[in-house]
Amino acid sequence: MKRTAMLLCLALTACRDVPDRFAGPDPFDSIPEPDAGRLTWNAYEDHSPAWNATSDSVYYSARSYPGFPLSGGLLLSVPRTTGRAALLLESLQHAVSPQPWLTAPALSPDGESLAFVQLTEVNDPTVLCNAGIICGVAPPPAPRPDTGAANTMLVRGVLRVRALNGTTDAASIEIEFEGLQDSFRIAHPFQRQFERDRAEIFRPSWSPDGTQLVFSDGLRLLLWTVGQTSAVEIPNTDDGVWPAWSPNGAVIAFTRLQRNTVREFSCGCFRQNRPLPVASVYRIVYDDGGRRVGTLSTIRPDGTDLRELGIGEAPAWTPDGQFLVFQRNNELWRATADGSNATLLPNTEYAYEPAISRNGQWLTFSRDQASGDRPSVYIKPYDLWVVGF
Amino acid sequence: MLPGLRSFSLATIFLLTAATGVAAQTTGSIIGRVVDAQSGAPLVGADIRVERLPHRVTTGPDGRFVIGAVPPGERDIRVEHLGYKSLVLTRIPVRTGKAAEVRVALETSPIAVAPVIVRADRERLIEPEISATHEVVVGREIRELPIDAIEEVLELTTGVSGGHFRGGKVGQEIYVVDGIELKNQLEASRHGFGLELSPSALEEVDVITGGFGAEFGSALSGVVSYTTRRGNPDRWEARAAFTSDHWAPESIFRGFTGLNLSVGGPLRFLGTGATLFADVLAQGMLDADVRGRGLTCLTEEDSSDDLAAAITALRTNPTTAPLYCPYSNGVIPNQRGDKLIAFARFDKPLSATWNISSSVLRNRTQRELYTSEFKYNPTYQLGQRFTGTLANLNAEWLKHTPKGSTSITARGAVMRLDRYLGVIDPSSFDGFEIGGFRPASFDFLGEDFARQDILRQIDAATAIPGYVTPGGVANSPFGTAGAGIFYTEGTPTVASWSRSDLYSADLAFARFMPTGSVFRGGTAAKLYRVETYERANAHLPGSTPNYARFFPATVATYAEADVQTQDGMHFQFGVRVEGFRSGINFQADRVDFLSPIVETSWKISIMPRLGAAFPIPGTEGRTGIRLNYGRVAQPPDFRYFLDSTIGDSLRTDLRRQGNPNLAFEKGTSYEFGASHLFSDRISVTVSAFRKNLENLVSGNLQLGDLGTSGRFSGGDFGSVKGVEVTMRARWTGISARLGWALQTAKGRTSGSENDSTIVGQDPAHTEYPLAFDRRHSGDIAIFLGRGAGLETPWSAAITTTVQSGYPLLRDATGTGVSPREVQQYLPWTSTTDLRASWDFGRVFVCERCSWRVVFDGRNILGMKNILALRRETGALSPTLQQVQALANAQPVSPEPIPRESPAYVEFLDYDRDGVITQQEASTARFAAALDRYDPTLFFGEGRQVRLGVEVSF
Repeated sequence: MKRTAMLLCLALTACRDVPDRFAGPDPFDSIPEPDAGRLTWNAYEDHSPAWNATSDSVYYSARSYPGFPLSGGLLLSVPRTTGRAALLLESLQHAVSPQPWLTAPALSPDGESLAFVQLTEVNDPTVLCNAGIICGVAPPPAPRPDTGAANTMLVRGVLRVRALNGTTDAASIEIEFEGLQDSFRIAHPFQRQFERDRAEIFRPSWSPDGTQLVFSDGLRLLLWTVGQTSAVEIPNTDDGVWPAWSPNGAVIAFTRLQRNTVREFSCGCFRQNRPLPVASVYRIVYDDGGRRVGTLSTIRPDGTDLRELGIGEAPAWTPDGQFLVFQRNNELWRATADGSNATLLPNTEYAYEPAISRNGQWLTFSRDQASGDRPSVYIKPYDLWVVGF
Repeated sequence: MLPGLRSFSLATIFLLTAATGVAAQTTGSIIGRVVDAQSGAPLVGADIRVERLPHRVTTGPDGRFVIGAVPPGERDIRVEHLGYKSLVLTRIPVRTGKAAEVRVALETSPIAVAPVIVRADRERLIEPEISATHEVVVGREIRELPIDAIEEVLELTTGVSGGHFRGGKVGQEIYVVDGIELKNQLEASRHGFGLELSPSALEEVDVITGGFGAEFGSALSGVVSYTTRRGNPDRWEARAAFTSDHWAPESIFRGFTGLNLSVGGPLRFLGTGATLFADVLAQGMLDADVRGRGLTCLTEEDSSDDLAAAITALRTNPTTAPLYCPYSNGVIPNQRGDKLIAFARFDKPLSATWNISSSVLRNRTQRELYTSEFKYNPTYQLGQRFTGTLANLNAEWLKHTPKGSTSITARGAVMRLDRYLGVIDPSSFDGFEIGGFRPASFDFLGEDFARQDILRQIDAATAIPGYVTPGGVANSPFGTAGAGIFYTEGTPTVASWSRSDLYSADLAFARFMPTGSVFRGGTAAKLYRVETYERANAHLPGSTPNYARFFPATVATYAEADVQTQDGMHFQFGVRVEGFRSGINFQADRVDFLSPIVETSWKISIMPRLGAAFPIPGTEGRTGIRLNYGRVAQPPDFRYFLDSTIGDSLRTDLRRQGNPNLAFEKGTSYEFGASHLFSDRISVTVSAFRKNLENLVSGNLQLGDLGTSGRFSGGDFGSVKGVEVTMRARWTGISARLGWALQTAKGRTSGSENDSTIVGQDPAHTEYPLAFDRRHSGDIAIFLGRGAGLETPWSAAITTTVQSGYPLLRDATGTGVSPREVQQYLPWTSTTDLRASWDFGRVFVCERCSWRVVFDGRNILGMKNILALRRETGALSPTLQQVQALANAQPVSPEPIPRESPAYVEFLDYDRDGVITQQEASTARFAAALDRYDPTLFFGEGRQVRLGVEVSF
């Protein structure tokens, strides 16, 4: 009895852990892994979704929001099961100045390199090109409210390829923006209104062997053998954007935007309180008539065998190369590679920029919110749609 | 029951334990007379020895004897005379500075027989011969009390409450360790003694609150005399005790673990009487400052109406409710700490007249310091470490003759007190740890840098290594809404340390007369080497530290006579002369570099002390009266010589210019007391006292003549007066002591002459209640069973302290710098502790081992004691406007925060739409500000329940 009591007392004095420290809850603790659901809630635009090699994360381009450096376009990665986003290409985006505007990420077939487009703009509030502009032909159209100030100059575009863990580019090439001359290149309005929310039309797409990239300069498709100093225009791709190289390498799907009128302007830009222009601009404005209507097309990499598959934008291939998923009339559709058997994917209102994971199980896309002002990246399980094939 | 123990029934032996002259040093004496039991004739040449001590005398022609310089404690004496039965008288209570008187009647015995053993448990309940006011707790009681630190014993003395002795400021007391006067002379008023002894290493604690003798100086309000234990010269004894609450359910788990080891015994290889005693106390604490409420959030009842309404709105809305009080664990983290006290004492008689003793004491107390702004910082917390080392060597010459005993004691001591406050290196918590105790000392970020040569440090012009500007929001539950309210990254910014080295030597003389009179004299000198360092913005490369190194000194000499007359009258005459110098020369005007240099001089104080005590004639010693008068003085804390920062609970830190030319803080004390023994079981002692204090260093926060920097001055004065009642009671197996003190402490602080709130009075001579003006304080200590001297397997000790609150010194100006106006007193507080043990005897391991189970409960009634309130509101909470001001100190980002953002925190998005809007962020920011204003620091000790095991042999 005595021994029992003593041993009991000794046992009761066993040590315990230190008290829990003050800590905030894990914000994603209570969010179950979704079968389908929303990935991002950014109040600004999230674009250009693309899958990582293991199909568990989505790369995308976003205008920055609290928690990230201020930039017109960040390349981020968000887990497929939702969670915190992280910067891609840390060395390029973290603690650098000026912060680059990046968009349209595309992972190489070997999963090690990322192709993306960097745009450089200058925003000089003292330079006014619309208020004090002198134009030789006609006044330029008013900038769209969501395109930023009219005095923002898009001065450069570069297609870059960099290893995911690299600190320097493996290769890069300048994107020539036709219609811009002299000392400034005006982004807004520019060509087909290349606003922030449509910069993704430059989207590069890798050849299956990873040696070439096809991309758009806004007016056509170009083929670039990675590492070379120049790109080759693909014939018969006028007004071609959003290229997508088929998995077997045979064809390139793309969207041909509708061209309406072309106007030419010769303008002067003035600095506030300065009588003489500080710059003169010669500008060609390609107008799509205010509508985003594109024709889904395919073409061989050499510019032959152009086929039009009907209305459709931002095409994406299934990994087996048998189907295309694309946006049509603000919804996503699936069709065979020749455009036939087009089927509406339900519950994809306002969705576009579809991307299919490499394992073929998941479809991600960006969605223009019903309100029309908050596109965000959504994810839906692709198996809902594969069954029908 | 001891073999041979008889009940005390014959009128053959009387134990009077009559006491004389408290003023005392570290020893007491035993005086008495040995007579023939039949004839009453004095026995000449009877041999009297103190068991386990070298003290030995023979009776003189009248049968009288005196054994002087007996260490305090419960002593046994053996009385032998040829032809008589030997007698062992046990548990004679020898008190410091007192003479325990015994009368022994021996019965004849023609043959040698075993000695008769008689227990002298008739401890006197009153001491009508003593003029001082004091309280003694003996080692047997200390080891039964529910205490973790010896300071808690002091709180059981009538008139001592919250570290204040009789309404004095903290630090106005002196500590005496085995006769050596010690004090944290650098910063006693801020950090107390700075050195701690293990309760189990003490033979006796004597707390003197009034009428202390000329032997004691450097104190205005009290003397605490510790007498350490010495090893048993007959056999080795040991005790191990382990106590913990780690078994406890979550609601009362506080994370305490204590281990105490004591061992003592003879070192026979060094000769007869050589002994060693060693004691180690290790305590680990996961929550080093257990608070009453255990929560870190404001409640409606803590708050004013408008803030309460805001809290209610936050708390009752289902969507915002998670924002309120996100941390409600009963144990507060970031409060880890531990304590280590190691003590060893060596004693050896060199000859019949020479004894030497030496002891070494080593302390280390370290803990995290909880601060609400860093509570969500997962890595860096402020912490503090105290280390103290004391080594001393005593040599005593002692001569016993039938006409008296004479002792001359020479003592030398060195002491180092070291304090470091800074940011704890998180790796400190990676090493070995058990039950919250870490054998290794905390590492502090950049401590080596901060302690290096000051000129090299300034030349380096860098931040203290490891210090980083505080900021960040990552770990706060409020996410970005906590920006600038909580610092989840970076470090606290302060680093400070102080080191005080003391070299002390003193010589003491005492002559003990058979009549009980004692004559004493002595002289002492203390040399200091003091270094202080403070760097408020240690994270900024350009910031410079405040550093000082200086060499103050104190000297003292005293003479005293305690005279006891034949009819029991007792008179005490003494005088003490004390001096000090700061050792700092300084510029008269800090802002004028052409001003003259002031050379500081020695400051001298002469302190006469008188006392008288006598029994009322005709009461047979059952009623006594006592009187005392004394001048007291103490050097001010050395920290006042230096520039420093005065902080208060509102963190309205102000810079003060040091003043090395400060003089003694002085006082005059008067006391009248009476004691009456109602029966053999109950006594009552009443004391009335008044103490006038003058030349106190100003603690006032009034703005000085250098903008935010005034100079410390000595112009404050005050008075403390009060009445104390102490009742002692004793029955078989029960002893109890109840004390009550009613007192006021008022004073004038410099700067009050500028107080526009004083109307119709001369502000320069208006006294205010002082910050420590606690009117009522009561204490109860009840011992049951073994603790009361009964030979039982069980023992229990219950202690209760009850006290009224301190005055709330409101800031009438609203500036936070002139907090004098008293608008209310804080509420009463009380704590009841209980320690009970059961002795199972031998259970396992060894034949001689005795095992006990211990239950140790603190604040067992769970009182939620409020110790402080906010000065600006008189409540636990700030105003609604203050919370809003903190919330609005940084604008809320207008940018919505999406769920995928690193800045997103789910429960700030209380509508769960995946985006934290500006409105949601504003609400969260208010909640964060509310959480920052947690009232945790204003509560007293929380409930704790521990279980333990003790084994001894």
